[in-house]
Amino acid sequence: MTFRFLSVLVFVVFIGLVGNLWERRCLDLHRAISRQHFRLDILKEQEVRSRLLAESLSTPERLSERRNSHFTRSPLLPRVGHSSQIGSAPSLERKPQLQK
Amino acid sequence: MQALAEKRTCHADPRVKLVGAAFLLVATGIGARLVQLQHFEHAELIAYARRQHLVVEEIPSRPGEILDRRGRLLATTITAKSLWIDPSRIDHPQSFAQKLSGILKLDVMTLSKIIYHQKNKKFVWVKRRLAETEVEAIEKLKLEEGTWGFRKEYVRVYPQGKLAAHVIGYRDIDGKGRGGIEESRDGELRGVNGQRTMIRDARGKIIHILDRAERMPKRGKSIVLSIDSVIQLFAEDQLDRIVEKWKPLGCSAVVVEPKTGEVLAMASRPTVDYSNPKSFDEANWTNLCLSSMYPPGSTFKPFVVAWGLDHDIFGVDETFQCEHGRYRMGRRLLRDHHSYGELSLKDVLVKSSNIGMAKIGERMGNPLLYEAAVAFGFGRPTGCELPGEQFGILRPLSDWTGYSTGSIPMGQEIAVTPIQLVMAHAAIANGGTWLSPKLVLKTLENDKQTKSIGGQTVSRVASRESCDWLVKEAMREVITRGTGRKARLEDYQVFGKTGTSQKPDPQTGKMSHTLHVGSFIGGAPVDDPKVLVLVVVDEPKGGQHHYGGTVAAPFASEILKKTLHYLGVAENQSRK
Repeated sequence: MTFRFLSVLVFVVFIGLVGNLWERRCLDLHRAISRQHFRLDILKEQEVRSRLLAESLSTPERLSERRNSHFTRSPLLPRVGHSSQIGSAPSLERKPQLQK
Repeated sequence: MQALAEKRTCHADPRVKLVGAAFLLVATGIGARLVQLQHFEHAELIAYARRQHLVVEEIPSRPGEILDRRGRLLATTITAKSLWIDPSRIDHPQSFAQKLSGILKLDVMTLSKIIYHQKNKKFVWVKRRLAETEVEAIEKLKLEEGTWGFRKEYVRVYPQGKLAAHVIGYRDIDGKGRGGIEESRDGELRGVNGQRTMIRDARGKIIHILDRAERMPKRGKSIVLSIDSVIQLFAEDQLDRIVEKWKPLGCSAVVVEPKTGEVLAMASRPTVDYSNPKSFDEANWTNLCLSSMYPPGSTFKPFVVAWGLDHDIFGVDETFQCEHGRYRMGRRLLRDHHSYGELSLKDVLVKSSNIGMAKIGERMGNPLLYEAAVAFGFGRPTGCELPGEQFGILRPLSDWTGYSTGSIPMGQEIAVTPIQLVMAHAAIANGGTWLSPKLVLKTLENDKQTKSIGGQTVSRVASRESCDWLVKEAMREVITRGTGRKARLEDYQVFGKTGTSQKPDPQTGKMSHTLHVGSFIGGAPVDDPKVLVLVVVDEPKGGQHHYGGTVAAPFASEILKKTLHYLGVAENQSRK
C-alpha cells in the first residue's frame, strides 16, 4: 500500500516538474521571440535610415545640381523635426501644438 | 410520543419562526442580487471589470514605401519620438513648463496653463515627432520620473523633396494618406495595426502582457510607380523654366510610354513643397494634369482626321479648299491665321488650318465627330489611379448644333484634361490602341511581388495605317515645316502637334482674346515612338506670343531630348 502510494506521489511530482520545466521553456522562447521582434524592429529602422541617407544623397536633383556645380547643401543625415533639411515629412511642418 | 412531537412542531417558539423567516428573507435577497449580478447585469459588469484590468494597446504598423520604376525611394517611414506629460503628477507647472519651453520653442505661459487646466488628465501630448536634438536635450533635463515620457511614432519622409509631389501625395500627422498615391493606395500602404492586451493592477501599473491576445502589426505594402525620378526631374525643370519665362497661371507636363501607357513623369505647377508650410495653399495641391480642363485646340485635329480616314470619309490624297483664310459656315465666319487656298489633308494638319478642319467636319457630320471624341477617351476619366481626375467636357450629341460641326474639329466646344489628351495621342503613336494610363507597376509585400489589383483598359480605336500616316507624315511635318518647328531635335525625328485655344473670360463669360492655353504634344522617334510628351501652359503672360508652338513646344522638346538620351534611344535609329 505504502509503495503504491509513494509511487503515485513520485509520479505526480514528476509530472509537475516536467510541466514546470515545459512552461519555463515556453516562457524563454516567448522572451526570445519578443527580443527578436525588438531587434528586427531596430534593424529595420537602421536599414530604413541608412537607405534614406543614401537615397537623399543621390537624388537625381542633388546629382544634377552637383553636375551643374551649384551644389551648396552639405550631406546631412536625415533628421526629423523643424530643422530637417532632407526630405522632410509633411507632419513635421505643423506648428507645435498641445494635444490631448 | 409521536403526538407529543407533532404538538411541539406545531407550537414552535414564535421567535424561532421570526429568525427563520429573517434568514429566509436575507437568503432570498442575496439570491436575487446574485441573479441580478450574474444574469441581468452580467455583460455590463464583465465589460466594466475588463476596462479596469485590461489595457488594449494598438501597435501601429509601419507604412510601406513608394518607389519609382528604378527602385529609387520616393517615400519611406522612420520613427520619431513624441513627448507626452501626465499633468496630474506635475506639482509645479510653472517651473516644469519653463524647462521644456526653451527646448521645444513653446510659450511658457501657454504650456503652464495647459498643465494647470488639465490637472485631472493623465496624458497630454506636448509636441509630436521631435527632432533628435530635442529628444537629447529633454533627456538631459532629468525631469521627475512618471510625469513625462516619449512615445515612438512613425513619420513619413520624402527623400526626393518636392519631386513628383502631386503624384505621391502625403501622409498626415495621423498617418492618413492625403492626395496622390498616398490617398488612392492608402489601404495597401497603411498595413494592419497590431494589438497588445495587458493586465494592470489597481494602481494602473502593467503587471502582465497576455501573449495569446497579442497580434503583431502587419507592415504596409510597398508600391512601385511607373514614374522615373530622372524623367520627372527633366519635366519639373522645364516647368520651372516656363514659370520663369511665361509667368502662367499654371502649367503641366506628362510624359508617357505610348506602347504600354506607362506614365514616366507627371508634373504640375504651382506645386507644394512639404518642407515649406507656406506652400500648403489649396491651389498648390491641384494636380493640373488630372484636374485642369481646357479646350484642346489644334491638338484635337489628328483624332478627327484618323476617324475620318478609318471611315472612308476622305483619303490621304484628298485636298480641301481653304478659301484664302475666310469661310462662312452658316452665320459664322471662320478665319485662318494665314491665307491658304487648296491644301492637301496633310497640309491641313501641318498648317493647322481651321477652315480645312471645318470642311472635314462638314464631311463627317456631328455623329461621326462625336464617335471620334468618345472613342479616343474624351468626356470620361481615363482611369488614372490618382484621386481628383476630372471627366472633361463632352456635351451629349443631342446638344450639338451646326456650330459644333465647325468647332469640334478644331478642338473647341470640348474640354479635355492633359491626361486624356496624352493618352489619346498615345493611341495614335502606338498604332491605334487606346490604353488607360498605368501609374502603379507593382506592389511589394516583404520585398516580394503581390498580385496586382485591377488591370489596364485596352481598346482598339484607329487603324495602324491611318495612325502611321499621321505620325510618320502629317505630325512629323508639323515639326519640320509646320507650327511645331521649335520642337525640332537634331538627334531625333520628332512628330507632334501644337495647340492654342482661347479661354472664356470669367468676367464677360465670352471667349477672351487675351486669355489663352498653349500646348504642345510631341513624341519621338518617328519610326518607333518610345516617348510622348505633353506640355500645357495656362494663360502665358511673359511675352507677346501665346501660341503652343512658342510657349510649350521648346520646353516639351527639351524634355523629349533629355528623356530619349537618358533612356538610351539610339540617335541614328530615326535617321535610317
